[in-house]
Amino acid sequence: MPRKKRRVSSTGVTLTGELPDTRAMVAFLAPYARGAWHWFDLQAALAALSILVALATPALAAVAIDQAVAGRIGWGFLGLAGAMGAAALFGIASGPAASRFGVALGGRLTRRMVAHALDLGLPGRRPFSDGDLLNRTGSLAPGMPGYASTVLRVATGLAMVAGSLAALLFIHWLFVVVWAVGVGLLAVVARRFMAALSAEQSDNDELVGRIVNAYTDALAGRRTIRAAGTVDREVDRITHPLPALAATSRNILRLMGRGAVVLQSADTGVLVATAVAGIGLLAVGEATPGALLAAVRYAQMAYGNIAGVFDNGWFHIALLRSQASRVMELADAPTTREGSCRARPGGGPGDIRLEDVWVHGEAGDILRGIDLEIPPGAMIALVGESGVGKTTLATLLGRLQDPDRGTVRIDGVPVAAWSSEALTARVAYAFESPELLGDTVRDAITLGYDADDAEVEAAARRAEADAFIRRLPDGYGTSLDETPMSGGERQRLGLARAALRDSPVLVLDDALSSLDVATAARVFAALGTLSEERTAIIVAHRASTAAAADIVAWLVDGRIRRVATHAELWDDPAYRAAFAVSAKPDDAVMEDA
Amino acid sequence: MTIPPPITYVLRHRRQVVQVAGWSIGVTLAPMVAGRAIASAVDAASAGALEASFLWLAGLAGAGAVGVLSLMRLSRLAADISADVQTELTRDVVRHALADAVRSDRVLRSGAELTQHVPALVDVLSLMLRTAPSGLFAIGAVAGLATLSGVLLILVVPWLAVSAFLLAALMRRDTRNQRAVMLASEASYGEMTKAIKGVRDLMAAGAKDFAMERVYRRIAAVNRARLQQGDQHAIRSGLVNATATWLPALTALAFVPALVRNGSLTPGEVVGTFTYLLAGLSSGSMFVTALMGYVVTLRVRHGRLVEAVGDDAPRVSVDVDVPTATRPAIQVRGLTFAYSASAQPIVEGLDMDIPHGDHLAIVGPSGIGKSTLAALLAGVLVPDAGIVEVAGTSLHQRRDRCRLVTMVPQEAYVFSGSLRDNLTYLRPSASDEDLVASAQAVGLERVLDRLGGFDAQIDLAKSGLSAGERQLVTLVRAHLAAAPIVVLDEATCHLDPAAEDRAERAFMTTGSTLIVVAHRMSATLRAKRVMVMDGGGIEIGDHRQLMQRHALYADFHGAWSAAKTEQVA
Repeated sequence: MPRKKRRVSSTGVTLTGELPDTRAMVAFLAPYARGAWHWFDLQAALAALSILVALATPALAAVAIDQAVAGRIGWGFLGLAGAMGAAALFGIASGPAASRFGVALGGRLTRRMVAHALDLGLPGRRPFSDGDLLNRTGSLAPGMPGYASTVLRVATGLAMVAGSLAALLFIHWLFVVVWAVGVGLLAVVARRFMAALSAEQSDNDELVGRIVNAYTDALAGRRTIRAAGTVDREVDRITHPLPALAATSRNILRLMGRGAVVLQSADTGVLVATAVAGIGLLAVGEATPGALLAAVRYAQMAYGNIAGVFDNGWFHIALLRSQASRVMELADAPTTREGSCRARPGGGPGDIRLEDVWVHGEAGDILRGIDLEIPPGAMIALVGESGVGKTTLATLLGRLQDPDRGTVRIDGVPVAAWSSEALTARVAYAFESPELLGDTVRDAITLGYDADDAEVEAAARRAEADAFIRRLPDGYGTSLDETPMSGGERQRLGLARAALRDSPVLVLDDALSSLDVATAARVFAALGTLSEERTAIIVAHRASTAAAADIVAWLVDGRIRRVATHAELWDDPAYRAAFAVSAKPDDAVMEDA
Repeated sequence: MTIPPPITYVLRHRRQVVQVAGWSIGVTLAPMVAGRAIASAVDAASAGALEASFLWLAGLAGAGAVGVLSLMRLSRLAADISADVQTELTRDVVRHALADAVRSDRVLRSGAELTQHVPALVDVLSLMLRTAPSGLFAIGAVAGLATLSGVLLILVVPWLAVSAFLLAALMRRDTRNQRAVMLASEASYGEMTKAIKGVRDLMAAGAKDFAMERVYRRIAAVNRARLQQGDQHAIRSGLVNATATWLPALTALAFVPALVRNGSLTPGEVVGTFTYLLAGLSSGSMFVTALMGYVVTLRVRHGRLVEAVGDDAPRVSVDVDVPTATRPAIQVRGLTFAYSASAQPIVEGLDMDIPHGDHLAIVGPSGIGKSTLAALLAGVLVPDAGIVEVAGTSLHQRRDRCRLVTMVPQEAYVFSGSLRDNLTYLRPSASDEDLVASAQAVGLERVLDRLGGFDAQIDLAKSGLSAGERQLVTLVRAHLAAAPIVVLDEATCHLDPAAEDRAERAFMTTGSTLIVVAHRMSATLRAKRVMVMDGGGIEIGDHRQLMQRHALYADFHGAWSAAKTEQVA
């Protein structure tokens, strides 16, 4: 039965919600472990054998020692040697079994979660931010196999406790009483200490956060710091919270140290108390020397295992369940389904039609009933002030997101009916700030698209990127990680990516904003936006771009105000204001970061 | 010099380390005397001397109490040392990383060095300080064994030596394995980051499979590294455990009957011996194995830390103390610079003079190297060949460079703190009057009004400033510094044309030498001279000359005026 519980997520945010119970955990994780269960079975079998051997060892040792004291080597010695050898072998074998199971489960779960995360769509349309998504897929999902091994460890620990106590009871009931008193004292102290620890930890995280923020800001401002020669002052500023951090760290570490003292003193206490009880029993003839030794060992085993179950058993399981609930949330988030229409009618320019399209945003509607027809081969500019929905409208054409109402058709077929492969062949995009993915400059252009070097270079030339790529240390093979690129360089790589795909519909979302006007004009021509072979949709912030378009769709507040030519619209001061207020003032821009 | 190994930080606290060692003896007292006490207690009890027996046990309990008290002091000391190490280590990491980023202009760090590596190092160090003495349990047990039976001691010691040898030999491999796992995990996480951040581009290009395939490959690499680490670790701990505990115990046990028969071992001493061998040695070996694990973690984390913060190579330049030039002119001779041997040089053999009070605009297509040239002229970058000098001394070597030149890059650096601190960054002693004057000259009024004055706090983590506002702040900062040479590297790119004009003109009236990397062509109309970079060479002249003789320059202006006309049409 699911339990309702306040819990603290790994990011420090307090969440309320259902924590998955054992059955839910198994149901969620089991499918990903398919084909690896034999490793888990082996691990469990080895654990069971290890328990038996471990429980038998002190008894065998007692017999062996009593026999040795009697001056002979008997079956006790052989039994003890066998048990110890078996324990070592089981231990060695269970490690690889555990890691094989964990790797199979964790790897498959992580892969599935990453794939799922990529199917959730654009950041604004899914319930998770990038960072949150990354935490769930990259950090939490790979840790899930820990659940299986922790459950196994807790089960093993409890079995060891039960077995050891049974053995102690068999030797003498007094030992069990001594053990219970020690553990009781331990539990009382442990509770108080956990609460204090979590309070200090959150202060500590906040201070580390402040230092890291100042540090990353300064790294970003390295050119200013270099020019001003102020490294030492920056170090002082960044490390300003260090004394406070040292204070909280000291408290945390002292608390943890106190926890260790408690465990240690309980351990010593159990040892001494058991020895006292044992000597007493020895004196009255109720125990042999071997039995005394066995009692000490069983008491230690019962104590050590109960401490282990509390220390990294229950606590860890609770943590994993709360983490699992976050991974499950991700797995349950709905994804868009691709259509099945694969046929590509003709190779000509695309014909686009939007019918009563609405997109809801968090703060009101972004698009409110857009009707727009873009004839094949046309170049249409989307004009409007920041935030009127130009980019959102552009994302609908290639189905980067779906409208909440209404239909978008390309060549008469709703975009939702196209297979994603067919749709990406029809519509290519270039953005204001493209993400450069892959290892090399070439990867960033091809992005998995099958093309030879000549095609890639031709696309780069059309995007006016070839010349600067050749100036890079390794040309097209230059590593992206080691080459910082300016905004203009990134834009041109993004344009080359679109140029390579040579699709009938081209969407440019402010994709030339960092290029100077002369270069931009050449790229426009080279991409064929002006040609009748290609339908082009351009989010424009420059008047010159709007002027070059066949028609302009002027958006105001999520609606289309007018569709006309730039010259016709220019007389309206409100239209001209859309350019003045926009982020990029209309002027010849040389480069942008 | 780079970040020293973590243990060096610990050893700096010499007095506290000596105290740790002292209290550690207290901690090992109980396990050291346990076998001896139990042996005597058992023998006394067997002989009917119950009082003597319990006296021995009381002694053991007393040793245990001393151990607990010692451990309390010890863990307190460990906490204090570790907290100090955290402070020192964090400061060193920040200093090294920042110095390296500033020098090399590359940032390969994500903050993980502060959020992960340093805390992990501190945790492990405090654990080590606290439990290292527990590792001495093993030695304590051996010492105690010596009081019971010299023969058994001789039988046991070789096994312990083998165990120690195995542990040391396998540590190197463990370090390698753990490092491999860490690197593979970081790479896998990095690939997922790229894919998730790039989801829009992946959807648009139909390239999800491309990204997923790359993520799968990284995950597979992590899995391989994990398996290798897991397998080798299992074998290692198995072997170490065998040689440290059950092989010595069995060897000793095999000889006990003979020793008991010839009377050199009493029954009590047998019990004491196995108290040492079974309890003492096993916890001792457990701790030693754990200790080695900590050392491995320390080495791996420290290695990653050093990689993250850079190797802090010695400075190429030498500071030269020279009298400050009051009206500095810049002489450039044979200036040559390329980013790598195979890359096309940004500038090659450039000669030019920039007299004091000059106003030079640098223009050229995107990515041609304008910022690089500006950094060379500001003495921030060191040329491959040739020299940029002021009053006969290479600018980048002059100790007064920072006072001579203020350079404003296009990435406006504003930090969390008061607006005043941000503005007086280059001239902390500036008076309020100067502050107001510079703010007015550059055009900061609207920002001041919005934020509420110079003492407003800027919190970048929350809202902060727009890109344009940030640039205004850095421009006022530079104006306030009133350096004789000012280099603006597209420092106005987020301002609208009117605001840009106002800000730039504020610098033109100060009499400083002004070098402007132009973001808009309109900047060339304000400048006295213009430098055009077109990849083929560098041309310098005034606007009129260049319009006549430089095709690309004319082209830029043509396109610009065409856009203007079109807009008005």
